[in-house]
Amino acid sequence: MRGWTPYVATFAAFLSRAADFLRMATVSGARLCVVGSHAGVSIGPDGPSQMGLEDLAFFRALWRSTVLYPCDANQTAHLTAAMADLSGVSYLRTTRGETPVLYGPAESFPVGGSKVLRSSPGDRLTIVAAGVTVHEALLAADRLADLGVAVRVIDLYSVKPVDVATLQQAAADTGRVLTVEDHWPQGGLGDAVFDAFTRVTCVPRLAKLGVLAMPGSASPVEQRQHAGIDSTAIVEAAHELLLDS
Amino acid sequence: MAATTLDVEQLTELGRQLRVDAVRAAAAAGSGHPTSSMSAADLMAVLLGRHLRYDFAETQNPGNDHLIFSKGHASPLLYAMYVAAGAVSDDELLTYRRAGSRLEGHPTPQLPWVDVATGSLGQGLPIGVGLAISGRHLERRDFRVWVLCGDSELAEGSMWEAFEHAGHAGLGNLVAIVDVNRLGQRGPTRHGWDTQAYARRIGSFGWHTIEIDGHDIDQIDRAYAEAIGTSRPTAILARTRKGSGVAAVEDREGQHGKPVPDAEAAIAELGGRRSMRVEVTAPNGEPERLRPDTGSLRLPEYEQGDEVAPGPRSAKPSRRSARPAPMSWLWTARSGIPLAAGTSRRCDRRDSSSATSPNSRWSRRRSDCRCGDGRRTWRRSLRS
Repeated sequence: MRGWTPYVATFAAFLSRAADFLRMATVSGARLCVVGSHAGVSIGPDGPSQMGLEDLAFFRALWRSTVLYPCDANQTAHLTAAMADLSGVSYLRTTRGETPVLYGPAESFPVGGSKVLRSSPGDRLTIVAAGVTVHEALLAADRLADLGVAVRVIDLYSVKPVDVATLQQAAADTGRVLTVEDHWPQGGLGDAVFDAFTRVTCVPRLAKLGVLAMPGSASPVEQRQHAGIDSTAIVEAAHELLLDS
Repeated sequence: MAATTLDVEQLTELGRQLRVDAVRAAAAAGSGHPTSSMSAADLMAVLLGRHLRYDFAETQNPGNDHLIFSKGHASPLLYAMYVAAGAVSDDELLTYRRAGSRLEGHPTPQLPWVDVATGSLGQGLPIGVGLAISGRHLERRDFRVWVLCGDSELAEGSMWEAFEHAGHAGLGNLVAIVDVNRLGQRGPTRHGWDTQAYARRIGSFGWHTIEIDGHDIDQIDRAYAEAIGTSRPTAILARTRKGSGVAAVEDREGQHGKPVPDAEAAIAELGGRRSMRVEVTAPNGEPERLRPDTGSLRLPEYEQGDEVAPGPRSAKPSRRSARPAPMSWLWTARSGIPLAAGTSRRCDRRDSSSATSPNSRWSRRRSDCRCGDGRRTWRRSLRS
């Protein structure tokens, strides 16, 4: 309705049922703020019927859409408010489980930006994550640091538009980019990052971690392990990427 | 001429004009859905001439009725109505479906009188329900929402979700006009002209239903008057003939989604071109819009290191945080009003009691929802 900003929220999985309405909303040029909760395998024991694993791909594909994926409660609050000022369909993907608060309440999160959480001149690889995988990426970075491998970690909370400058800088600095997402490997965070390296002369060595197999019921920790997106999988993938040079 | 003075003869003529113009538009385009337009021409003639309240000069008038063509493929009829209302020129009508024309194959808000894009069947009525809820509970206006539905479209599950919802919410400001022309794209519909079958089903959801002959001007007029006077949502189930008025296509299969075979002969059969203009009645009352109160926004705050679910379930404040942090402010809705209808919590003025009591917060906002410059205030507070 004119003068109002509609917010709609349901499980990320069940927004797939609204796909046609959302598609038509873009034809209408409607401004609509959509929140998909309980995203990914990280919901745990409820099983695959409840898991949104295609939502990033769908919302990224919508015409002139915005896709946001916060990793903690303060970031979620800021981005939820920021959506009210966006045009078109905007999508915010949230995580079900209790998640560590990484950022202070005064931090700012511009749409189209990212947060570099770990960085040093000796970084040999960049891990790009968003949402729940940010926490896995930080765990992996700690373990890699213990092994003497410095890595950069980017929280790519704005999946569309994507922070091309920061990604390209990280690629130039480290030469290797590893993405990790709680989503099928197609159309999500990894592809958003890969798209940032089109039309560039120097493409980094790229690898993508996404959900590997159809999940069942399990704890969130077991789910991420089974999906191949937990800190152990990240450390292994990082080693492969570093060896393969 | 004043709209309310149109008599039956004039409305009949208007119905023929709408048919002729739908035939001409599709003929000029070489494609389109004239037969699906012709079946609903009399229904729309009476609506435009007698019952629609719409200010074509002021499309943003908040008192305007909303007309949604849920059967968006009947766009030639909609555009013919705009010609009759003087909003679209005859020259522009003949640009239908051409590159660069606003008159697209299916209506979009590129046209200022179109609220929402249609053409994906099953969506117009659900959106009409949202508009009607918005009129009742957000804008608090007495506009009416008219939705022209196809009968084939009633095979879509989303239509029945909409019927159920509107019935439950008692949306007396919503009228579904069902053009029961019995023929779909591939042949006869499930219920054909059995309007009782539809009436039984829709009525069971709490709607008022009226079954009429959709080509009888008097019956149509009485049905609209009855709908306006009813406190429940009304479905008008109108038996019509697809391609009505042109024998070569009337009530015939295989004529969906194509121009009539001989446009000139069809126009002659319909009595030739007309150029009636209808002065559509504008809504009464002042155009002032009720604005949501967009007072200052204070975001919830969480302490670093705490474990908090970031999603809509995290209504609890941080355990160690002194400040209340009700994430639920974004997702709580007044009971009975679903979020899909569109509720913004931007206008939230919270205090410690309202933080835990969405209903009381809503009540207060409803009473002092008059803030004009709140949006700027809100932006400032967000930035700081």
